[in-house]
Amino acid sequence: MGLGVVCCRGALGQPAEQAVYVGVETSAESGLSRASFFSASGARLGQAPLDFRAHGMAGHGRRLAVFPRRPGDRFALVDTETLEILSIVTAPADRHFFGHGAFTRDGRYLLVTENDLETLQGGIGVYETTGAFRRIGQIALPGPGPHEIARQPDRDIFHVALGGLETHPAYGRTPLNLHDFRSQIVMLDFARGDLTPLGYWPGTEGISLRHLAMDDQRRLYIGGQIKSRDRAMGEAVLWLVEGDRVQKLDPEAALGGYVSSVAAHGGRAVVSSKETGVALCLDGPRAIGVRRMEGAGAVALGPGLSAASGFTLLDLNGRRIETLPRHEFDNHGMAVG
Amino acid sequence: MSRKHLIVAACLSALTAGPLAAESRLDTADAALLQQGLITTADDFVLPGYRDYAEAATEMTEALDAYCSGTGPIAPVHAAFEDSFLAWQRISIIQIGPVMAEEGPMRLQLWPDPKGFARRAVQMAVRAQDRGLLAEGGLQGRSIALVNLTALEDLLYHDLAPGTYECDLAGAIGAYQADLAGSFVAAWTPGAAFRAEYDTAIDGNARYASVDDLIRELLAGAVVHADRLRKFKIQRGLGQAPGEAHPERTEAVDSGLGLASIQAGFRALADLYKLPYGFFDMTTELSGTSEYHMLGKTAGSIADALALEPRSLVEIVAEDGAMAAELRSFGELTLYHETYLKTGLPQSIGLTTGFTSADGD
Repeated sequence: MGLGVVCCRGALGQPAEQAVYVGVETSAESGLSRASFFSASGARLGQAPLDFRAHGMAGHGRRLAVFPRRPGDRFALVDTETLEILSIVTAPADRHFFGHGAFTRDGRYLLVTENDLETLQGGIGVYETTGAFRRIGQIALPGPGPHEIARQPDRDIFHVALGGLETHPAYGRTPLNLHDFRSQIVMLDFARGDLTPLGYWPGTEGISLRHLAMDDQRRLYIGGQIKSRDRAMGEAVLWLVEGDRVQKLDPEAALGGYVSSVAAHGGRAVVSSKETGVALCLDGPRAIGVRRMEGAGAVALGPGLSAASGFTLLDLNGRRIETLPRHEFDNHGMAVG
Repeated sequence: MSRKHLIVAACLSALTAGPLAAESRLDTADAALLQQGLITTADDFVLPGYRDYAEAATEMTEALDAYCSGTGPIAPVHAAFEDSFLAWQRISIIQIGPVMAEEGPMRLQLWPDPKGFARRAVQMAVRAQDRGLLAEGGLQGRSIALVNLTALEDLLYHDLAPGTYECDLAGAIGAYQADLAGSFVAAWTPGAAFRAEYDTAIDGNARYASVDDLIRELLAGAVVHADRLRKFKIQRGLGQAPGEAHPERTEAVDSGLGLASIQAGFRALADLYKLPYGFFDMTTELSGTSEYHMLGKTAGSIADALALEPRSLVEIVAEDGAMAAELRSFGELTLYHETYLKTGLPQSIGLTTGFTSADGD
């Protein structure tokens, strides 16, 4: 038995149905989150209570890593079958996490975005997951404020949204370099150890690129946030990268200068915006569906799964599920299983 | 049907469902009542608060002009800095609207500053002797470390000499603050674009689609204010128990305004709560908890007690005696404010605030 409290609908360690989606629900009273698991039929299977406010997640096999909202310094590893919290991993003293991570394709390594508190530059913490879970190193990034890291579906090429904003927990969440920050995407070939910045694209001035996902056609969808309205040009905060081609997308459905999350699966992606309550389905540059829900945040796509949550409602394959009492669905969710 | 088709179908099935409008959890009459309370709060608390800050900052700029040109003494500069600093401590409880734009409130005061960014920014500017920073509007878009009250305090209380670059830089920072405060006054004045959005928080309003949104922001700002009082203004220097005190970690060490800052913080809480026909007063019309009344009285009593204290915060912390213990207990009392603001009040009027996932990342 690990650290966590297990709360299953079925017997301990044997949920009655297989989980297909995990979301984050955060308590109004405590500000602490739970990783909540749902079946394809929308049944609540159980939850793993956390001692921090959670943000993004990464999964491989039965393992789910739940990362803290920045500037959290602990993340949890959860067994998605028993919903047991296997361990809580603490950041090195001079670092904190940025809310996201990704497993390598074989699940052997977990890469986690971090802030170096001395230099305020970004980094990736590298953890080995076989045997005793342990940190084996870190990769320095060419700028501050990394946020989401996503792996290509078929190989260990990762893309990191390097948001560009310097922050330090002593100053809350306030960016310290808003006047001149630049944001870009960095590509990491993990096997080779090559790090390739994709450069500063025109039109990203004043925008922090935060969330991204790649579909099976290797199309990379990137969402940003306008952080400096003085410097931003227009409201568009969505980019698409196909090979060497970079497109700025300006869909009809307004995103309000803010993309809450991005998910992709197969040949589709979904992006959401809490600002406008929009969840937008994309096939490359083409918008193929849109819906609105109050506080649209987490979105997820998977085999036979389409999910989007707002503040208090989760829409999972068309079924509407209310949040736990006095909780709200937080920014991210993901397909599991 | 292929797997790909299934995925597309699943994606579309969820995404083409009917729209869910962002609407208030309050009924129309209750929402209107609270909106009126918020308008009164804007007129009688927010706007006077920003006006005080703007006036004090303008006086500081004028006093600095005189001092730096060798035609005036330093005392009026320090007096105007004190007025500006304390006016900001009071109105910083409001974290709605233009103050939250761009880098937010740290444009006004970057503190705590454990990495010493403000001092470093000042030193870099002085070394560079960049005249461009001194021109009108020259500090617009510059690092927040350079333009805020912590940087200004660093200049004003370290042997500032007339006719120097340092003196002119202090004048430029003062002018930046006066301009910023003036822009807040303009934005909160009835009829201004922001104020119009604030006054009409209903569906169709691009900024505030419901009065709930406005209330969430107001309460979240007050929570941050209470939290800063406890964690930063009190506990950072005093520690949580005797023997943990660090005078050098207190706020505004150079100007000696640390205790007055705590006092202003409690006074702001008290005055915001007890504003007649203001937001908190109106919540009782909806059967909201009347806890604010007692919390306001307590906060006011603390402010009164601190006003009588002759010692500076640095002296109190260095001594680490009875007054230090009392200050720690005052800090703990802010937890009651946080509970009331996060959950007690919202739940009593049917809102879900406290934590709100709206503050995304």
